[in-house]
Amino acid sequence: MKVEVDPRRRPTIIGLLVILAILAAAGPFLASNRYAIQVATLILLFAYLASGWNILSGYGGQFSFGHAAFFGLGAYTSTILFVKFGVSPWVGMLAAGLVSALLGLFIGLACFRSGLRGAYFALATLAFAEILRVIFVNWDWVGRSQGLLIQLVGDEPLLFQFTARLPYYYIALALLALVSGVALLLERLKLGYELRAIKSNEVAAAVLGVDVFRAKMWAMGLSAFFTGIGGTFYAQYLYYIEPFQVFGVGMSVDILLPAIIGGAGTVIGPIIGAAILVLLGEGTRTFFRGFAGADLMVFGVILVLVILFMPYGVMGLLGSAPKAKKESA
Amino acid sequence: MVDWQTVAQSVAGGLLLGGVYALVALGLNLIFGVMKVINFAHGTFMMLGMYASYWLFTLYGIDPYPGILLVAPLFLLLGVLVERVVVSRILDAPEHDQLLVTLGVSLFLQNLALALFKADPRSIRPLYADWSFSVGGVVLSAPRLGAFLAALALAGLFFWLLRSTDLGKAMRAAAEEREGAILVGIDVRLIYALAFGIGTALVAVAGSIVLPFFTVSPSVGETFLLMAFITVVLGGLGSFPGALIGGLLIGLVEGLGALLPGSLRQLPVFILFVLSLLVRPQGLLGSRQ
Amino acid sequence: MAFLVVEGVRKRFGGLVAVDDVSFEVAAGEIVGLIGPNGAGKTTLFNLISGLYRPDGGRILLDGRRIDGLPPYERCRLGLGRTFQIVQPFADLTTLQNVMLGAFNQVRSEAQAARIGWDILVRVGLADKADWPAAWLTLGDRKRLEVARALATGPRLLMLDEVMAGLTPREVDDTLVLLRELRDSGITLLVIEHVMRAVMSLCDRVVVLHHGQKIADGTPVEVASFPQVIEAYLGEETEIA
Repeated sequence: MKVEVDPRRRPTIIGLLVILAILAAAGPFLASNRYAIQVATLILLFAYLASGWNILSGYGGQFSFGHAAFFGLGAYTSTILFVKFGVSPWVGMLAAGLVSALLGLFIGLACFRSGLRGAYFALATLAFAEILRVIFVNWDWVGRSQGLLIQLVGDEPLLFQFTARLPYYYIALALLALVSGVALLLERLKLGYELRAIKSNEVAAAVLGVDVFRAKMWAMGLSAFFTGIGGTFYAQYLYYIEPFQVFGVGMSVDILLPAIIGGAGTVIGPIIGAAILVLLGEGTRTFFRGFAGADLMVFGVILVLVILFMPYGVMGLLGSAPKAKKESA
Repeated sequence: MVDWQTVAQSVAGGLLLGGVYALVALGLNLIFGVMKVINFAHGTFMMLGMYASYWLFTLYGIDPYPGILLVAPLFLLLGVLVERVVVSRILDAPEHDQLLVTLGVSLFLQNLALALFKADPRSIRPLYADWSFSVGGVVLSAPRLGAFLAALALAGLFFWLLRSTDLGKAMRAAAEEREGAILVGIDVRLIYALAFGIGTALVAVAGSIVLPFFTVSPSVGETFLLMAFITVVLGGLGSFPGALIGGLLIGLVEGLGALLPGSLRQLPVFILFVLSLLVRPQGLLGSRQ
Repeated sequence: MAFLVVEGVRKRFGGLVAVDDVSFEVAAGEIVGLIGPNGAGKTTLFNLISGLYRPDGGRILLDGRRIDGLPPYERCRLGLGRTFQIVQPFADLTTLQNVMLGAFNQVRSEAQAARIGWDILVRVGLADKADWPAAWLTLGDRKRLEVARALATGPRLLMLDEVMAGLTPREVDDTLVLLRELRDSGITLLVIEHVMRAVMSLCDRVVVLHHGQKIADGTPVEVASFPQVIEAYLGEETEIA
């Protein structure tokens, strides 16, 4: 057999390695400028989150507008464990992933068993994120709408705290590498094939032997797991979480936009998308200082334009999209 | 312990608001039914409708109810515009693209409102703000009652439109069988634009009638969209009578929830939503495939 | 016991009875045609057999085992393959990957699935387009891909829904050759077809549906002369390709 299963695969791996290498090398240089490294870390974090979202929504086609539910739950899980019980946030991070995964499975059970798809599924995920927000806003033990503060303990690597910014950058980079690796692996596994088939045509997939429910649940669990871990990172990075921020629609949107802009269902897309959006966001915020929401307005316009004119995102422009050949009958 | 009087009061108030939820859900169903598009900007248009009424009242002293005569046509136009410029281009696109486009529109409009009007909640005090009627021992506030009656009237108007007018029939034809509708000479593009426009106008008017007793802020649209969605899930996807029943049910449950402290008010509705998904996914009046 | 047994199957949608007490059998190794005017209920019947609809009554047995309560994917794993009238390849995947999805019913690893997929692509004549994005394929190729995908699942009964529709006469001939090869390799075929010349030359038996009811069941020659069948098709445009 002399044919590659997917000719896009090798360029993707090379591209990913190159990007990761550049990012790794750039660390010390960025560190010399506090603003630069913070922006860069943010890019890495959202690239990571978007990649996690991608597993369920980009590859699996089940668009979630409520990933903030997993993000926020993850953030709160590790923070509660640390602040109330003194558990190291590294352990808490794992717990965060698992708790979020459980939530994901619950939501999946409620939605997938009832055949909720497309827009209805998206709205349902939105509803779940809202439910969590309402719960946490009214919960005394976790600080209600004031949220939780993580006490500064200085340089304590074992407690996931650093006085310098650079370690956070590399942790985010490691997380990004991890989830990108998972995505690459997924493309080779039966589950990856099933998800992409489901995205295209669920009914055809079912008739070809795919247990659609099971595949979706796996995707949901994995996606929620990684997103929850991202929540922990966020909490440890900013030392403060509150319900409106971590469970809000804005966060759900911030998580999914990079994948859409960069190219849903690709490995590199979320990374490119995150870079574009974070930089654009910073630029807009600086330029339109004083106009709350200006950056989201710009994002809204960009989202519409991207879907209308390049629905496969930036990666689509770079040849990753299944465009119809001009000569096809 | 809470006495039945308070409970009845809460329930009544909730039911009245439920009429508005039903109206919002109807608009959502219309757009979805005719064009198969879930309009994420639906709630945003309601919010804008509220702001429109707010400014009409604050700047020109026009009460929201007569203001409907201005708001409805304005938002009909806006809806048609949005449909022509954006939505019509993605009618044949994969569903997730449609979702994202309307999300984009919603993001843009909501944050436009944020930029223009700021985040501070605003409310109006019309003439009848404190009026109330006693019905069987339960006190109903005039603004809520008015909204309920107006919602009923509009729902009735909407049904009349669908059943008895040529436009309504054309819409139903286009909804059921697009190719057939085209063959029969129905200008489907016009129908779509009008369906979107009417759905938008309906929800903007829902905003107008809700303003007398509801504060407006840029994020209020999200709340209503969520409620409309839960209504639709509860009542059955695609079912118009289901939207009505669902809306009233949600209103009732929310009314009961109002007896709870703080913003836990919304929690019973959410629990009902999750239960509904788990136990009866097709909704009350929907049908299982 | 026949390989596929459809017994008293009924399905209604609201007020419309789409399939009305239909019974027939398909023996192992047979090629059976399912024909009838548009709206006769053929695709509905396919949907019932493959598990996309639940019957309101009746039973369906595959190789002696009752399948009418099973979800589609389980029926596939029991050896039931099915293609659709409106072909839609998985656009995010290449031609080979499309077929590999089916192959994952038989194997676990990508490499094994690729091997099976490749062999099938060679068999249906799509090997030269194996690494193309599936969206690039012509209609004729997509139809072949549709069959290839179902083949990759290792079916014992293959249900084909209008696999010849829209094909040129030459393509129809090629497909006939392929289908006969499939039968010779041990696969039982149940085909919905409007292309009458294909039905006549390919099928061992023909089942005729009209308004959801079975009105004839016999060899192509027998069935073609049934008055009810002729009447059902009067006014119907059938492709004598």
